[in-house]
Amino acid sequence: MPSDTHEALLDVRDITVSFDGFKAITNLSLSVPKGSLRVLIGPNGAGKSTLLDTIIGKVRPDTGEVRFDGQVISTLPEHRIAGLGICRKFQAPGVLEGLSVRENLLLTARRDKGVLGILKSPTRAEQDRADELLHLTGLTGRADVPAALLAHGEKQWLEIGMVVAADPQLLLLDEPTAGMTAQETAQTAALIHTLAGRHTVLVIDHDMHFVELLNAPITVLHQGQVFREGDLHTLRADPDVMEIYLGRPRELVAHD
Amino acid sequence: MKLSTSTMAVIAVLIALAFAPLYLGAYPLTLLGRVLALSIAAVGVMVVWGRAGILSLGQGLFFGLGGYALAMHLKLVATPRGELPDFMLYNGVEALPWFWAPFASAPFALAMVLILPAAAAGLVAWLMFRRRITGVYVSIITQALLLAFVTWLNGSQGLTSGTNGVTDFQTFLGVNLRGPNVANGLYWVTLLFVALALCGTALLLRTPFGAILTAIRDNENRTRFLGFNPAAFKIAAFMLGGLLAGVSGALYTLHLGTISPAMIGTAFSIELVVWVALGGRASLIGAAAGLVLGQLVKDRISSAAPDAWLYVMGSLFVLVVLVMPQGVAGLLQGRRRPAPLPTPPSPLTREVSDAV
Ligand SMILES: Nc1ncnc2c1ncn2[C@@H]1O[C@H](COP(=O)(O)OP(=O)(O)OP(=O)(O)O)[C@@H](O)[C@H]1O
Ligand SMILES: [Mg+2]
Repeated sequence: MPSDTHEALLDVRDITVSFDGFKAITNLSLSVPKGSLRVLIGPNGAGKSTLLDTIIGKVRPDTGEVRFDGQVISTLPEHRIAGLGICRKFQAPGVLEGLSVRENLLLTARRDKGVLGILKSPTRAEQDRADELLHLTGLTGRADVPAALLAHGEKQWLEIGMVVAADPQLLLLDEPTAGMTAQETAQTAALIHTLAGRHTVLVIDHDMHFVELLNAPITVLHQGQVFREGDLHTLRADPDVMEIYLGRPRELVAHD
Repeated sequence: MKLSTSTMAVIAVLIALAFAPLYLGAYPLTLLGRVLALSIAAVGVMVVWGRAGILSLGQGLFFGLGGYALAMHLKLVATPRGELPDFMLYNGVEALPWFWAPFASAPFALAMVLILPAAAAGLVAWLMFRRRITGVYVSIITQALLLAFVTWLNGSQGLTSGTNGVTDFQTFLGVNLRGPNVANGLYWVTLLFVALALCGTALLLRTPFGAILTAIRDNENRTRFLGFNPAAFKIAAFMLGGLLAGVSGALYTLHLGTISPAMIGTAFSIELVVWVALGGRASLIGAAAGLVLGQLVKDRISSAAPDAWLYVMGSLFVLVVLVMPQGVAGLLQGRRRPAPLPTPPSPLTREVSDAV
């Protein structure tokens, strides 16, 4: 297993994370190859969000380390980790409500995010990038609308756009379809497929219909550990996986 | 554009203020000039607290640094060549202390009015925000630093003139401060600085810098994960707040002809915050207007019943926190816009609940 680690863009090595003695993650290892799309599922409290928190430096592992492109990042400050090209979309949308859609995208598209850098006017390239992101997220028609006035689904897309704006190598999406209609969910899946060509993407979601649309390798987390890895088809046939979803067993059952 | 109406209102008020010497008597004009000088510090509080969410209760420190920087120059100019300032003689000081000497130069002193407060604010902010100190702890630390400064000023009679403060100025840049037309001139200079502070800050807050400050206030972590370093932005905001307080302190010193520890202490620093809260800490104009009106009312009440003043201020503060966290400006805005956007929890209430 350790032989292929140099190929991995993200390499989580044997991390343990605890909150006041409670182990949210226990000896978890996970590696995600460059350019791939990976889906992370697991019952509530499995530690999915905590894993993302650890990757972006919001929480620090007690033991183990997180490597990115070969470099240990679990000791770096958060904005440095973000600067290396890891961006995360949180569960709750957090667009800058006072700014327009375009301004939100333009702000996160800035290369120089220092105090003085932000005071300069954006470069041509940065503006083009914002336009590109408007197009990508399907928000071109809403460019000048204040973000506060967007519909829920639009906010989620804007936030994905903001996360993508800095052109991160690794994109972490935590439940991007929460609260979306079936149609919005399908659009989001299409958006993620577009992104997956250019970025390495790790998606968490509970919506099995969405997971099916993503059609990507799945890692199942349970009680802070990797429980299974495989495709949706195999996992659905796995009685142990069904077992841990007991209590919400219909989730893994096909929607059709 | 809805902004232009309020911008026009501000311009109208500034113009009306510019002509005040023509229609106001000597005492009201003096009072107005002083209060306008203070409103520059209020603009700083608006940036630091209203936008960046940092509740500093020690703005008097930076106000005092600006004030003392100018006062030292004025004192040296008023002292005959080769002699020591009077209070040093009384206290048995035999040679001009090293840090006094360069203040004999007007350009140096004027530069220090800007540099000292900004640098001190930058240092304090760097120490606090690098370590991610937030909320009530910031309020406590800033208050404690101010207290230390005031204590030092009081205790160092020979260096700072202690509780008496630095007084007896005569000329500034060759102008006799007791001359007949000085009052109007000083008033206009003050108004010019108020206008500059308001416009400069308004323009700055309209850049992405302002947007990021708001984002930090509402959710510091999120900005961090978008790749911005909140500490750097908070330090910059705090420095601007310190700079504005310093300019305000220097102007105020000119208006009063003196600066003393009592003018910059805890009561002053808290009052500043109260007025800004009352006017509306999220609004530049609200902050400045809150201070101006508050001080004018204070002048009335405290000359009628000096003891009542503290109670009035305390009650106002409680009222603002409980009933209108966005101040009067917030109330007005709420009326203009039928469905107000959800306001973030007031940093004050948040800090209180953090502390519990
Ligand atoms: N800051 C924290 N302090 C204490 N416990 C925490 C903290 N964050 C997470 N936990 C606990 O760690 C466990 C894992 O939580 P986590 O949020 O990672 O789960 P999840 O897999 O994302 O669940 P969900 O599907 O509900 O989002 C939970 O039991 C949670 O209560
Ligand atoms: Mg979660």
